[in-house]
Formats: sequence, C-alpha cells, structure tokens
Amino acid sequence: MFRYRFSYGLLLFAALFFCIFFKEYLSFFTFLFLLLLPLIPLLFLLAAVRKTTVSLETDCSAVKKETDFCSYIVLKNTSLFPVAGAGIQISFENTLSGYKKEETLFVPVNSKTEQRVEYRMRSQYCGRIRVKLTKVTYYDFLGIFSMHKTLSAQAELFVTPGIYPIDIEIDRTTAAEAESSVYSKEKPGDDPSEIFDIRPYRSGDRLRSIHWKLSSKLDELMVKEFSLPTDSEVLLLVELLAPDMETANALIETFASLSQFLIENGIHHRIEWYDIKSSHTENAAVEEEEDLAVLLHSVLSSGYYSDEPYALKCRENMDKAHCAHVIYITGGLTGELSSFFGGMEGEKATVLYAGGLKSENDTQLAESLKTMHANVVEIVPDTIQECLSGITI
Amino acid sequence: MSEDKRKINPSGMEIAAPRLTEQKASVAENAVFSLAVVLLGVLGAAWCFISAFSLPVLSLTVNLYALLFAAVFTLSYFLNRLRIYIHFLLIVLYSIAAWHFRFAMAQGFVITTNQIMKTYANHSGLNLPVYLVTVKTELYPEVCTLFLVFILFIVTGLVCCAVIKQKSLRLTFFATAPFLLAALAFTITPNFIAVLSLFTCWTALLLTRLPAEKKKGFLKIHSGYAGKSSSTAARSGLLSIPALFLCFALILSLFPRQSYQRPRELDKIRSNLVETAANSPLLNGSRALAGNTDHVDLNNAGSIHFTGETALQIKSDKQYPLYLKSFAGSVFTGSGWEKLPDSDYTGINRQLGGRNAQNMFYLFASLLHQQNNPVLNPFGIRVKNVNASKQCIYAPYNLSTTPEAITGVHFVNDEFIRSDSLFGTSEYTFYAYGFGPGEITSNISGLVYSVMTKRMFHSEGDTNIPDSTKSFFHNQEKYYVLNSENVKSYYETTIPENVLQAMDIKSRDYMQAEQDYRVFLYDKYTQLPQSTREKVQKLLKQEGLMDSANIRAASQSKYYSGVESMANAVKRYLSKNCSYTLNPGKIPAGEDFTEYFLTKSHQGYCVHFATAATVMLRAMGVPARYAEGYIVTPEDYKSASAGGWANIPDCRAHAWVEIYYPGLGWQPLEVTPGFNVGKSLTQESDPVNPLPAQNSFENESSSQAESSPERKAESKAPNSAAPSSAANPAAETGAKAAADSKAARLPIFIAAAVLFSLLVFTVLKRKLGLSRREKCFAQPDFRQAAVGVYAYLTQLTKFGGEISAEVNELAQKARFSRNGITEDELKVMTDSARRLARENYRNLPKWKQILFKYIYNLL
Repeated sequence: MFRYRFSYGLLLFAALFFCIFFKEYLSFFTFLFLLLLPLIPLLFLLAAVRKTTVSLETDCSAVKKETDFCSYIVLKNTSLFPVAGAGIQISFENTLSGYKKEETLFVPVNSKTEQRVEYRMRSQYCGRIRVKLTKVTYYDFLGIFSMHKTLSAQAELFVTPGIYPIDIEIDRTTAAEAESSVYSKEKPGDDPSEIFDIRPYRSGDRLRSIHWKLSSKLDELMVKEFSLPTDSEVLLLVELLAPDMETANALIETFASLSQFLIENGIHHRIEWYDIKSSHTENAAVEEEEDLAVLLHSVLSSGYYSDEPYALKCRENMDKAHCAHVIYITGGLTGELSSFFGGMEGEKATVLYAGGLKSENDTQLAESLKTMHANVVEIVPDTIQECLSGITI
Repeated sequence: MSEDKRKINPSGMEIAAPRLTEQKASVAENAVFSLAVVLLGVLGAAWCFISAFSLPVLSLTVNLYALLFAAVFTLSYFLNRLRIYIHFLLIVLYSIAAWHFRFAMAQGFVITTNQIMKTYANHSGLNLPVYLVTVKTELYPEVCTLFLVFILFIVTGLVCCAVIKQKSLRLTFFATAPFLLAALAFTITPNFIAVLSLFTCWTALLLTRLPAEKKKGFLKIHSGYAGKSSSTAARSGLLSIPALFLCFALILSLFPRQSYQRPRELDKIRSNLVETAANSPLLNGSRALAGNTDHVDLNNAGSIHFTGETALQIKSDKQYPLYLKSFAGSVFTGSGWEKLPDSDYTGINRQLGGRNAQNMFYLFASLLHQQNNPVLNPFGIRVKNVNASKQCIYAPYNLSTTPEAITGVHFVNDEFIRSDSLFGTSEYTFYAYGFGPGEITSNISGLVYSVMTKRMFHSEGDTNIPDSTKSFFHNQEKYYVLNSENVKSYYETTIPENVLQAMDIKSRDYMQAEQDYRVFLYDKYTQLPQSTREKVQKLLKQEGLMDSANIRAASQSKYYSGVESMANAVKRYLSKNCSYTLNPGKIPAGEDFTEYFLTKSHQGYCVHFATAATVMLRAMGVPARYAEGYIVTPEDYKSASAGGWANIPDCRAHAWVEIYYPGLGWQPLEVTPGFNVGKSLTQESDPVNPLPAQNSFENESSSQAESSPERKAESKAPNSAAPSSAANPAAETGAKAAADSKAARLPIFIAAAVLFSLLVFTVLKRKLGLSRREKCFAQPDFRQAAVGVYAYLTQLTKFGGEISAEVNELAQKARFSRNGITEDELKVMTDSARRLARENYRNLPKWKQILFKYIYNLL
C-alpha cells in the first residue's frame, strides 16, 4: 500500500511541476483532476464496504484422517460497486498438536455477487481443526485507502482417529472379583446405582440424568449426579504425553480402538486423561459409542504435551482406582510409572507404549515394570491392530 | 489433492492453494469495457495530434476508421482461437493497402511533416525545413487522412494489445502519450476534449489495474495468496468512466476554462525554481568571472587562469568596442556582490510606469526624436554563447531593445538581463547605441535643457528657455564642483514644479520618472556595510581624496569638477597604489575584501579593482555598481570569420564599475590599469608594470574634466584608434591547444560513455538474470521449478563438476512421474545446484570467475 501511495504522491508532484512550468489551463486542470481522483475510488469503497460480508463455512463437521475436506470463505457484495481487493486474515489451527498457521488472502470482490474461496485441506493426524477469519481489510482501486473490519467467523471440524478392530482376550474372572460398591465421596461419576448429588440442570447434562419427579415439584429442571464407583472394571489411563504428533495420534487411536472393543464386548470402563488446557484431570465412564464419541471430541480438543506424565501424577494423588485392570496408554515412559505400579494391589496393569522402545532407558524401564507384573506392550504407529492383539484384559 | 498444491508441515496438515469460485465472468462487460477504453485512447491520441498540428483531415473518416479498427481488434482478442488468423489477415490486408496507396501515403506523410514543422517553427522561432508536396492543395485532406488512417491502424493494434491482452497501463501510456507530448513539448495545447479522452482512457486503466487478471488462479505472495478477477476489473472500469466524466464536469464548472487566470504565485514559484536551477553548477557550469547570475562571491576571487577558448561569438553591423554586461552587483556584503531584492523595486517600478532603467538613453533619445540619429551610433549585435554561462545574457550598454521587444530573456530590473529558459539562451540579438566609457557625460541641468529645447546638443542663442528654468540652471551651478558633502544633494535634486510645468506632458513624465529613479538609485547604490564605509572613508581622507573632519577651510577642501572627475581620482589612486596580477591569492578568511586589497595586498585583477573602485566611490557618496561580463575590442572584430562572427575568448571576461549619468543611464567606467577597450588595450596586449608608479595610464576622457549647464549630452564618433598591433601569441597558442584538447575530448567522452553503458548493461542484466532464476526456483509449480534447476545445473557443469545421481533421479521424477516432486525434494535439487555453483566459482581462475559471475550470471 505504501508503494501505491508513494506512486500517487510522485504523480501528483509531477502534475504540480507540470502546472508550474506549463502556463496553459490544461496543466491546472490536470493537477486539479489528479488531486480529486482518489475521491472516486474512495467513494466506491465506502459504498461497497457497507454491503459486503465475509463468512466461513465448512462442508462437514468431522472427517477421517487423510480425507480431503473444504473450508469456504464466502464473500458477498450486494452493492453496485466492486471492491478492488479484500485482504482476509485466516488462521488454521490443530488444537491437538498446537500447530497454527496464519496467512492472508487477497481477493477482489465483484458487485452484486457471492464469491466462494475454497480451501481444500487434509490432515495426516487426528485432531480438532479450527479455521478462523480474524480481520478483513478492504482496499480501493488506487490502493491508497483501506478500511478494516474485525471478523469473528470461525469453523471447526474434527479429524477423527482411526478405530481399528482388535482381537483381545478377555479374562472375565478377574473382572467379576473386582466388582465392588465403593463410591467416591468427592467426585461424581456415572454409576446410576448410587446418587452422589442433586443439582439444577446445566447445559450439556444428559437427559437420562434429569430427576423428573423433583423437577415437576420444584418447577425447575433438576438432575441427578451419579456416583463415581472407585472400583470400575477397567480403567484406561490415557497419558497424552508424546514427543510428536505421530506418537500422539497413535496413542489416541490406541485408546479409541481399545475403548471401542470394550464397548462392543459390553465391558464398562472408564477413561481418564489430563486436559492440559484446563489443567484438570477428566474422567468419564464409557458404556456406549456415543460416550466414546463425546469423549474423543474432548480429548482431541485438549492437546498433547511432552514434558510430564500429568495424568499419572494426578492419578497417584486420587482415590485408588479399585478396578480389575488399569491400562496406561502413553507416548513416553517415565520413572513415575514404577512408583505407580509398585503401589498397585491386586489390579492387573498394562502399559501400552506408543512410539516404540527406542532408548536403553525405555527398555530398562520396561523391564522393571515387567518385574512388577505390569505388561508393557509397544505400539508402533500404523500397526496398532497387530500390536494390540495378544494382550489380555 | 495433487502433490504440487499441498503444503506439508510437520503437524501433518496439508492446505492447498485457494480456489475462487464465482459467477462466470461476463464476456459482454469485458468486451464493452475494453472497447470503450481502446476507443477513448485511440481517438484521444489521434485528435490530440490532429488538433495540435492543425492537420487537414476528414474528421468523419478518421473517426469511423478508428471505430472500425478498435472493434475488429477488440473482437479478435475475445475470439481466442481465431485471433492469430484474424491478425494475420489484417496484416496482409494492411500490407496490400499500404502498397497500393504508397504514393498517396508518402504525400500524406510529407504534408503531415510540413504541418508539424510549421507549427513547431511558429511556437519556437526556429527555422525548420519544409518539404515539397506534389499533390494539389485540394487533395491535402484526402492524402493526409489516408496517411493517418494507416498510422491509426498500427496505434489501435498496439493499444488493443496493451489494454486487452497485457492489461498494462504502462504500455497503453507509451502507445498513446507521444501524440500528446509531441504537442506539449512545444507548449502547444491540443483539443481539450481529445485530451480529456486520453485522460479517461489512462485513468480507467489505472483504476482497474489492481484487480485486472493477467494470470489465472491465485498468485503466491509472501504472506499468503493474491487473486485477481477480470470481471471485477471490467465492472469497476465501466462504473469509473461515468464517474470520471462527472469529475471533469465538476472541475470545468468550478474552474471554467474561459475565465482561467493563472495564479501569480505559480509564476513566482516558476521563476524562483528557474533561478535556483540556473544558479546550480549543474546547469550553469562554473561560477567563474562573468558567469554569475545572482551574486559574486569574492572569496573565490583567487588566482584566475584563461585557456583562450572562445566564450562568445558576436556579429555586429558596426565594429564598436563594447562592454557586454552579464551581471551588476548592487549590494556589497563585504565578501561579495548581490543584486537588490525584487521587493526594493516595487515602488520605483510603479513610478517608472513600465519603463526600464536599462533603456534610459533610448527613452531620452526617443523623447527628442533622435533615436535613429546616426550620430548616436545605433547598431545591432547578435551574440552566440559558445562556452560562457548560458544563463547569462551579455548585453551592451545604451540598449534600444526594450523588454517587450525581445523574448526568451528578461530584464532584471535596472541591473542586468538574464535568460528565461531553464537551460539558458544560446543566441540573441540586441540593438543599442555605441558609446564607449567616458565618451558621453551629462548632468541634471544638461538633461533639463535637452528635454526643454528638444535638442541633444547645446546651441548658442537659445532664448526660448523660460526664466524659471534659467533660475533652476543658475541654482545648479553650485554643483559645478562636487565633493562628498554636496554629491548627495546633487543626485537628489528635484526639478521645481514650475520648470516641469513648462515642459510638454511626455517630457514632464519622463523627467519625473528620471528624477524618481535618480533619488531611488542614490539611496540604494551608495549603501555599504558600516565597517567597510568607515575604513574606506578613513583611507580616502588619509589619501586626500575626501574631506577629513579636520579640513574645513575652503582652500583645503577636496573638490571635483564632476562625478567623472571623482571617478578618475579613484582610478588614478588605484593605478598608483595597486598592481595587476592574475595570481593575487585568495583573501584570508575573515578579512574584508576591499580593505585587504587596498591596505594589505595591493594586488589583484579586474575584480579587485572594480570592487575597490565601486566601494571607494560609494564611500565618497557617488552611487556606483560593480559590473562584470565580456569586453569586445576593435581588434576582436578583425579576427572575424567569413560569416562575420568574431570570436571572443575567455580572457575577455572582465569586471568594471558603472556610474549613473542623468538621462544617459548607467555607463561603464574602466578602472583596471592597462585596459582601454576603445584602443584594444588589455593586459595581454599592454601588460602593466607591476610597480604601480611605472604605470603609463592614459586618461582618455579629457573631455570629462569640466561640466557646465551649456555642455549637453555629447556624442562622439566611435573610437577609431589604431588597433594595437601587438599580437597575442600566448592567447593564440592557448586557443590552438584548447581546440586540440577539445577535439581530443570527444573520442574519450564517447569511449567513456560506451564503457559506462556496458557497465550499466552488465549490472542490469545480472540483476535481471538472478532475479528471474530465483523466481523460477520459487514458483509453486514444483515440476517447472525442478526443470529450471536442472537447466541451471547443466549450465554449471560446463565449468566443471557433475550432476549427482540423486538430483538426476529427482529431475526425471519431476519431469515424467505422475505425482511430480515435493517441496523438500526440490530443495535438495536447489541446494545441490547452489553448492555446485559455489564450488565451481572457487575453482576457477580469476578471469573465468568474472565470466562466470558477470557474463553468464551463474552465481
């Protein structure tokens, strides 16, 4: 823009020079004309901008990995005057990986039209893709004037992890012994056999948790908070600790595939993970596919980390799990594992390590875990199905 | 999604280049807009040209053909597949038609050329050739129209290509602007509508250049992507054309053409700019002696050296010795001479009523109806500026050429004349009266007598003089002897009202103006810095040239018989006490120029003498000015060529003093010892002995010793003194050597220019080549980029090294595989190429390195 302003300045200066040295009316006219000229595109711009809108659309809300999906920037100008150029600031973000890219798109906007700019994308890994339009700058036809408008258009979609059919042996005897009716006094859960608390309805609460009787009495929707049994059969402790996106993708696919298998086999289980964004451990019981889908969305929105095993550390500080089997799914083996599994009494423990035992440290740690009767399974990305077969739950 | 459109990043997200989906571009809109712009451009250019040079054409034919050509060319650009055939057909038809009408076209060309020459000649005063036309005058419009139609065809083709295919404002401007600029260059204003038409064409393209689509798709830019749209461009263009017309209408209604008066401020700015530019060394050349146009810096008056080169050439019908003045210094600053500010002249210019003081003698002679009297030695002189400062106008004294009678120059008030043009004036003619310094004198009484009696010369027995006038003459007798006490009242003498009333109206006006001017000049041209005045007066008193405070007795008072007598006394003093040299050295910093010369150094050349004399005269109360320019001696005319042009060498550059004579105006006064222009005496021909006591200075103005009311303005025949036979071998040798060196300069200059052009070309070519290569490597189409890299590698291997197998494989993959190569693979290829280039460069000998880098541009 500076270039165009500078060029216009030079042109005006040349016209002034012409006016000074050429004594006829023409030189005066030329100078006046060039002085007034920028008003024409400015008026066009003012008239057009008022009736121009920019919005964002996507063609779907969830896609699989390696599948093309599109975002559309829709420019609509209902005025009579075209816009020479609209500079739109776009940002693309994958919340799981934390990857963010910003770029600017310059496109003219014709009058009385709707234009769509298609951005075709594909993601190699799962995650939550967010496309945002933050600002639009409209330029006049001389490139001298511009008008800014902030935008808050946003579109999101989920790139779902691959869920693979796996073949795992289920040891139901251990599961039966592990059944208990101990519930957590601190936190609610999903076990309907025990009510933890009754409270007013909040957006997102499930319909089946509404206490209809009480609600009709109080004329206000009230929901039951169920208790958290501290002795679920299987606990999937998902540690989103990974050195890179490939590993993070692999461990998410691992727990998703595993959870799907458990659902299909009617095994109630809980999934616990650490949400780095809210710095909070999340816990959810999974009984149906719908539960897994909701949970996956939350996990994909949280983001992976590469410094500490936060989920493991939080679990250590919480009530004992009292479940038949704890499956720890992680992308990095740390020393805390030994103390965690060392403190376990009677529960079966399995460590699913996505990424592979690369270093000697990892191998030693794996060996020490084995001595504590924890099963360590190496999960190689792209061979999750094969890696998971052979384990026993 | 194809490989080459993806951008892969470590997080696994691939984002393709954007794609614009919009309504299909309206062909009709594009076509209408293109046709409108082309027509505006072509018709505008054509009618600018036709109207500027008043070409005899058939208007309707021209317009129809312009429309036809525009329509055909526009259509051809929209029928992409048939374009090449249509163009080929048009070229064939054009060639056939041109061959068939070649004679008429040739005549049309000649008629057009003649009209152009005639128009240029009328506007510039140049003599331009006119060529013979064989067709009858009645056929001029037809043949001229025919010729123009053929030109129109080519111009329309160019404009269509520029507007439709290239969408380039620059090309359109270059194709159409010459028709307008050809007229404007000679300040010819073409038809206004035609000019507006051109403006509309250019502005419409300017307003659509941003969205104009030259390449399909989005272009990668550093911060993202940029797209264009031809439909947006066309629609905005169609909307802007009526908006432009409205804008024109608005300007024309607010500032109508008929009632336009150029603001004075613009003229002031113009003349200031011209003066500033003219005074710059760039345009004005050196500020040496006789080359100054607004001030003389005496700090630069050190040693001076003449080459003998011809500075001016003059041609005159009479061979009078002349002082050609280029600058008069009015204000002395102590270290230089400057002209009076223009604001000082506001009042006096009004009082002079349009007269210029540089024409004082002519006005006086005209009043007496003597302007053509041969006794007054009227003559004409043509001056050609060969090597002197082009901004300076070297004009003789006693000009009869008035400011209105000459163009291209302007009279700088009462001081001097300078060029009007930014680049100076190289040739000009003046008419004047030929009097040498001291040949004529006058005083106020004499002037009044002449004006009253309408006689230039006194004759006995005049009884028609009224008593009041006689009484005035009697009163003036006290000024027969002048000194520093009464010289002021002499100059400020006001003619009594009853004397003025006795004159006719014209004479009265003249005398009133002369009186006003005399009072003005006394006030302005006796000014000095106070310290200079005090020191010089002290010196004058010491030397007995001026009354000191102690001398009060009449017998001891210093009296002069007139202004010329005072001037001669100063001259004698300088001649006696100062010696002439061309190498006096510069005045030390902080020293007053005059004081240093008069009291310490006692040596200098004409600048020193003239400055000192002017300052001394002013200190004595005599209004005087410093002047410089060139002198012309009778000897100079003898060396005139067969064409009558006399060469005035640079050694004729000179400085002198001017003093004012009532009715005669400013006259030159020679104060430098050894110079007598009338006798062709200069320092070269008559070197002055450096010891001031041995100077044999001739006082040529013995007639100026006395002055009385009966001695009127006298004229003398031109000085026909025998020319000095002393040759000037040094100047001749110097001139020859100068001519040789000047001739030798040209080939050196040409060689230097060629070398410089080659250098510039090499640098530009290298820059362009490198930038093109980088663009090729960075293009979004990785295949093409890889091909480019491979071609570069092939060139590099000519200087050594070889292409690695990996790169070969990648090149083949890019060229032949379905998926092409990725960005990383391209990077491998470019890195390899750059590495090879650096290696090769290091291993080459020095001369080959230059070839490698600057001729082949491989690094």
